[in-house]
Parts: sequence; structure tokens; C-alpha cells
Amino acid sequence: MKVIKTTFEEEQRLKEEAWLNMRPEERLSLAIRMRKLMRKPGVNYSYQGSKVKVSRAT
Amino acid sequence: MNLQSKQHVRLLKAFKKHIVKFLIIGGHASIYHGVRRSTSDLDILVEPSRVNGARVIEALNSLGLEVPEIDPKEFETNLALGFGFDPDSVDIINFTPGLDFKKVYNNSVNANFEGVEVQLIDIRDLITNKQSLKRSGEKSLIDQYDVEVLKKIIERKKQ
Repeated sequence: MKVIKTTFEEEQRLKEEAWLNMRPEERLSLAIRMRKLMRKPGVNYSYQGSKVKVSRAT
Repeated sequence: MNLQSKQHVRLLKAFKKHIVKFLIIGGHASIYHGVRRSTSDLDILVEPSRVNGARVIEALNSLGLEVPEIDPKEFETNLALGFGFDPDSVDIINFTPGLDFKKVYNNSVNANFEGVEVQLIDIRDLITNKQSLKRSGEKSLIDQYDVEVLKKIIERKKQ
């Protein structure tokens, strides 16, 4: 493995550049994958039978 | 991929099936336009009309959601619906500060959300919305960050 000397700022700049060079749909797809990783095991996320909360303007 | 991981997609498909006029706003739109961050819910802006309201209710019912008594006419005034648990929660609103639905819908971009073709708020309208929200606490910091990054992205595109 090759070790590259870098700085935090440079690394962030490269990550930002790579992120912005992606297609918008690719970014959206990654965000959706990240959301899936946030799920906790054993929790039922299904909307079936879930209650809809309604807020009305006062 | 199991059914549970497709809640948002099922909702969007139900909206399309029931011809709901809507667009994606919020965190997913920020990410689509280039903000490097995560989001825990799906924010949807729906057309504030009685006909569209009836379609929203039909779509939610088709997913087995327990929808309380709502007169579709109420969709002509400010209304917010929320359901689900993070990261699959959803906020549906028919009004958001700084935006007029018709204008925003006409400016919106076509996006592919996990295989579903949807309309997504334009970057400039997203900035206007984020600047008009005037939320407090942590969400205000996210809004400020989004606005700063989105403006830089517009500048970057000009170069």
C-alpha cells in the first residue's frame, strides 16, 4: 500500500471535488444508501398501519 | 433489498399512480444539487389544491397508512402531514416560506429517485426556501450550511 502525505484540508478538498463531479442521481443514490445504513435492527419501518400526524395552520 | 428499505420508493410510486402533483424539497434536494451531507427524512411539497389533496389522501390510504379525517379542501390552506420513523420518515407540506408552488413546480428538475421519475426543486428555489425558513437551533445551522454550499455550486457552474 502506498502512503500519501496529505493535509486534512487537502483531503476534504479532494472529497468535495469528487462529490461534485458525480452525477446528481449518483449523489442521491448514495444518500439513500446512507439512510438505509441508519436503520436500527428490529424496528418495523413499514408504513402499514402507521398513523399520519396532521398539523393545521392556526 | 427488502420491502422495508423501499418505503420512500413505495410512497413516491403511490403518488405517481394517484397523479399527485408534488416535488421533492429539503435534504434530498440539497444532496442532489451537491451538498455533502446526510438526511434522515423525505420532504415533499404538494400542490395546495382540493383535487390534489384528495389524491394525496388516496395515495396514503393505498399504502395502508392510518389517515385521520381530512377534508381535501383543507389542502387549500396550510397543512402538514408526517409519518414513519427516521430514516424512513416523511413530511408532506403544501406550503413552505418563500415559495409559490406553481412557480417552483415549473422551475423544477426531473430526477430519478431509485427508479422513480420525480420532480425536484431547482437549486435557486431551494436557496430561497432555505433562506426564508428562519428555523431555530440545529436545523438553522443546516439551512445556513446548505445555502452557503449551494451558492458556491452555482458559482462553480459559471466558471
